[in-house]
Amino acid sequence: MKMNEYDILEECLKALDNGQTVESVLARYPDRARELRPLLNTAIRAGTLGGVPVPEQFQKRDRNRLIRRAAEMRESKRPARRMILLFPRLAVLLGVIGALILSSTGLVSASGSSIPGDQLYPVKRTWEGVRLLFVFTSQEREILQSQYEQERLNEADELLNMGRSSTRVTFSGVVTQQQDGSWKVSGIPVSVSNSTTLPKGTITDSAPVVVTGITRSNGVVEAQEIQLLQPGAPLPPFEPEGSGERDSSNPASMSTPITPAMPTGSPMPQPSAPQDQHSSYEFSGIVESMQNNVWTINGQSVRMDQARVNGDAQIGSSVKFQGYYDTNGEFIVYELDVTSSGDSSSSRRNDNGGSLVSPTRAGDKGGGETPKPGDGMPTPESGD
Amino acid sequence: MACYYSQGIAIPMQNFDEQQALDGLRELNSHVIGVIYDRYFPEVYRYVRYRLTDEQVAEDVASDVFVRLLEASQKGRGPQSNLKAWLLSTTSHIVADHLRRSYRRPTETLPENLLDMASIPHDEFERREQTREFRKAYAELTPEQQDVLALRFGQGYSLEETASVLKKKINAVKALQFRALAALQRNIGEVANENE
Repeated sequence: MKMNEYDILEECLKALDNGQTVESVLARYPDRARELRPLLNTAIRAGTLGGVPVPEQFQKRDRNRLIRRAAEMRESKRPARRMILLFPRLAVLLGVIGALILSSTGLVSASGSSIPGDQLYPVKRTWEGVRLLFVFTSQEREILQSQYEQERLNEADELLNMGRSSTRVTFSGVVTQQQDGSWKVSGIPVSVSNSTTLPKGTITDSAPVVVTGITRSNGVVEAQEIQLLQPGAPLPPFEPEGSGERDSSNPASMSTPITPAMPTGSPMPQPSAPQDQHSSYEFSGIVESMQNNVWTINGQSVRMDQARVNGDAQIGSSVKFQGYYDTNGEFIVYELDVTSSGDSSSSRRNDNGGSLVSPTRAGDKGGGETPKPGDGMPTPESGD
Repeated sequence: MACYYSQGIAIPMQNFDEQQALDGLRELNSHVIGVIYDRYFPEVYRYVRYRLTDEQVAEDVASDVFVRLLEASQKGRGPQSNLKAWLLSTTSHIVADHLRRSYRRPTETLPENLLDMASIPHDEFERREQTREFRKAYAELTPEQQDVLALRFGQGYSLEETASVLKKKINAVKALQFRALAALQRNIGEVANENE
């Protein structure tokens, strides 16, 4: 029967794969040896043509081209979506502006220091929304959103320090600790129980999440819902500003700045932070755009004003960089190493007219932390 | 340890989660695309090189596969579950298109430099001759037969993986593999006779 021949051949091929010789395999099927021998020899010959070396240089160049292509596709998708969103936003904008003009002008400034539960807090949030509506570049929007995310974290921290309970808060941050029901999200103690709504997938350490919950008098946020941060969201803050000032008498408080327990591939706290008291982080990623000293790396805007650039940075270059978050929530790069360049055809200059290579500084890197190989930038992709 | 990022989760490369990779691909996440490329480019390239001898054409085809992956995923026609099968299946189609175009516009393959051939050791000469015979015999097979041999013996894929790429049942792959080896063996004999 024909099917038997197919099965027998497959059995013989498996035996060859396991290291048996053609003769020992054929000894199991002596009546079919004459037919099988040439097939098995042909199969062995067919196997010798595989396993050619992969051209590494081409692979590197092609990879950069592909990532650049993806960035272009992403960019080309954005304007259309923005236009669709523009008109409803304008309508809301005009309404809010009118309401704000009618109300006291001092209201907005007075609301600046309000926290959830305060009467002026809705004014503060509305004003934030208005400011966002006036921002039309993705870079500025991301920076502003980052500031607001930092503000949410600061508010939660302040509420817990004040011991104000039963206040609903929503903030995003990075999971830095998971011990049974006691979590820490960017340093904020979060209590997770059976009644907490969690996403389907596993939440790992260093995962960026959005926490919605209620503050409790024992210094924790009782989580009602925890969601994984959606791609396109700004990088969540890693710690509330001034977190070291939390009341040490509070059992849940933290007396030292938070050092997130980052796995490899996540921002790495640097023990020798060179920028005052800022925590230093290290990322790696792909350069997607370079404009006005604001570069986009893996969808995240970073400021390059103070950066020392080691190597020829281009769109599509793989880079490792170190920096810190300033008080506005912006990521300030102080050193950037080009680990592999994009194509020379895409080499760009920055808007100051100078080459992105810093000839006086390139190669004289010293004193900084050595970048960790293979670190990935754990930021959601910008995909609005 | 390298990670990539999708849906808010950093994933170590060795714990490659296909569904999250597909989600990241749809979002055009640079990191995810880089990880997918690093993971599958060697397999795609080796498959193409098995089917095509020209190194430069093989590079172009392998590159094209990943561009098509981006484009298809943006148009909602990309892989829904089995990324590797989609990539290899697409590669097979691109190779078939290339071969069809080549048949319509045949180009003469330049003979190897005779001086070089004369200067190489006898064993090496024999090996090259056998490879050339094999290549010629292989090129005479049907595209499906070439596919199954490239996947099973070039890539070392299992029957199941091969069936998934070829979108066939396992028994059909077994039969195809049997017929492909038998045809290849016959062709090799014919090519050898021509040379005598």
